[in-house]
Amino acid sequence: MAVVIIVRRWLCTRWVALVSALCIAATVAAMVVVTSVMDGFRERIHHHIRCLEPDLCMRWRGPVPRDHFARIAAELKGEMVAAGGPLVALAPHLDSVGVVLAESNQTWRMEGVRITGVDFAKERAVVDLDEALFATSAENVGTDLLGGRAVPGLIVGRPLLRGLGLSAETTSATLMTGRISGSGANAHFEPSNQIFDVTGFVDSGRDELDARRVMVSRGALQRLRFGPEGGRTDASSVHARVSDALRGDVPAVARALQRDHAQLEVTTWEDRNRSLVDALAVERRVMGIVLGFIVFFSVALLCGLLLMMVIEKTRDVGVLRSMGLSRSRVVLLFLLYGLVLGAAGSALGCYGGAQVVSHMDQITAWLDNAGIGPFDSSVPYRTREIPAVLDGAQVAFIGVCTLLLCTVAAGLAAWRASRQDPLAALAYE
Amino acid sequence: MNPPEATNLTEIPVLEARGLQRHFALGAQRVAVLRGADLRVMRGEFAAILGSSGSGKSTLLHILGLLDRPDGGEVLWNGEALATAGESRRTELRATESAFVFQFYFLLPEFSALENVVMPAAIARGRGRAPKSAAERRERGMELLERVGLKERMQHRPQQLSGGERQRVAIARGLMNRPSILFCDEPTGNLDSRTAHSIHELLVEVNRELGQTILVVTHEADMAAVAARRVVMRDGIISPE
Ligand SMILES: Nc1ncnc2c1ncn2[C@@H]1O[C@H](COP(=O)(O)OP(=O)(O)O)[C@@H](O)[C@H]1O
Ligand SMILES: [Mg+2]
Repeated sequence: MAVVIIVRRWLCTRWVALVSALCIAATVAAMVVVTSVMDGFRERIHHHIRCLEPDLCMRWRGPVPRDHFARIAAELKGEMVAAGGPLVALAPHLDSVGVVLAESNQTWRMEGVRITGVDFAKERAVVDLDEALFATSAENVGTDLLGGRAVPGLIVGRPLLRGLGLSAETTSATLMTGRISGSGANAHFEPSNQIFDVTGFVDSGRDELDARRVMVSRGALQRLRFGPEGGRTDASSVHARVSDALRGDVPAVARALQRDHAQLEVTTWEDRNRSLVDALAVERRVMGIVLGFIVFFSVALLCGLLLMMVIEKTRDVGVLRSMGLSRSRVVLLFLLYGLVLGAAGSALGCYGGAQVVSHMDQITAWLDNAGIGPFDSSVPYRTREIPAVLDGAQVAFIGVCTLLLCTVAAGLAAWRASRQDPLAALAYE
Repeated sequence: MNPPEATNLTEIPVLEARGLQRHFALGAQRVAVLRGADLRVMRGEFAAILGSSGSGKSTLLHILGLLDRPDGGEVLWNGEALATAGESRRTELRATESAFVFQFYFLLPEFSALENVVMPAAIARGRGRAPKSAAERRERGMELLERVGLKERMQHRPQQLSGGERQRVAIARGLMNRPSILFCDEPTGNLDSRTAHSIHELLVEVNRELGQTILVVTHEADMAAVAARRVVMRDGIISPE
């Protein structure tokens, strides 16, 4: 009881101790906020990637057959959700490279591009196309932007709109590609081109890719490359979407498919964006370690403070011992004092961090209004918000780790206090 | 033979020391501070041990008060041998049967006068004759502060009190748990003579009116003079005046 009374009084009268608890709270809160925001960014980037990147991309091993899509579709019949498998939908992709040209203000501009021929409806079933796709005119919204038109539609990456000088008045562009015919010394490149209507643009959030991205209907690309008689091959690859239940672990689905269908070459969205995905993971881990160190130092600060307190209070402890306070109670005294500070710091930090994360929108809006926002106002962001994902288990983990560290710190101080000779302090002034 | 022993042959002393020895190692040297000190303090007695500075008075008092252990000899409280008793028993007895008044008061700086006085009861937690409930404690604390003349200063912190007032608070604190014996180590050693005199009077009053057994060690003849019985400490032993 005396221990509780003393601890309470020390807590109320020692502002240095409160400062150290606040220090712990601040670093813990920072850790919670930063990890949550990093999770938010990671999730957003993953989301952006997956707007246009299919979960799985498959190819037939060896020479590409003419009926590539049909062959793979037949092979994977048993893997579709309807048959109890993991795949929701398949879409054929025909890839090519070429050049896109447009004229505005009597100036021709030209950009090299990667051309993707897709079936608009099938593509939408495989990726979250609508999240990244914008129609250039209101009348096109909600329609098939590529096929079934007098002038075939063309979707370009957002940076290309500016690169080509496209505007509301200028919406047509010429796409140029071709094929290699003949062989040996007779081999030659046969160019072909066609005028398209720019019906939409995509913004995946990754300008470096979007700047080289155009989409047309697969049929149009086949005709453009191989002439009116049609294509030599119906698809360069086949894209697939994994059911929502399994979308969290695409690599496992890929491994299972690869095992059961040796003829297929299966890659995942993570494989195809390995460097970015890995960079995000490494960044998050490094940030965690750095912030962990900061939390560690704030706890070390508490530990130093507790040790100083033990020394400063040597005489008081001696007096208390002379009044019959046992050695174990002295240990308890410092342990409790340190633990209360540590627990208050960790709890306050977790709570404060969680509050910041859950009010991130208001906070960023407020900062933005005050002119000290984190956004560069000259850059037209689609959304002016900081993504943050609050993971309760992660917050609890941070809190518990900090509390454990504080326990060690308090234990160290208490151990030091228990070794003190009460007489040494009482003998002389 | 001392008169009290002669008249109370059957009475057990509150405190008894038999042949206490204590030496300190100073480097290679061994300094014997106590060389067989004997002492008996009877219930209700006000005894003083007079000795020059460095004669080993504090060392003796710490051993008698169970803060330190002797290298030889025995300490008995109400007949119970405690020199080699377990730490938990000694700790318990310190809480319930004894109290210290130090030369430099040693009040806890974060607590008011009243809280300082009540602290020993909080430590004793109702054991012995210590007040049981919080209300009882508080009441006794206020009563004791009133008794030592600090009725108006109960809420003051030690820093806000003069040396004499602090020592009064320390004496009130010493009385809190109704100890068998109150040990005072140079209780007026840090006070001017007038203030010292008032502390002398207070101790005499406490001894007379409450029947509190008191053992004072001091190098001041004035202090020793107020005690009913005086012994002298010299060369590590205690002898009659
Ligand atoms: N812990 C200790 N270590 C070494 N010497 C000590 C210790 N405590 C006391 N002494 C020595 O014992 C002698 C008596 O000390 P003390 O009991 O404090 O004397 P007094 O209280 O009578 O002035 C002194 O010479 C002192 O230096
Ligand atoms: Mg002394």
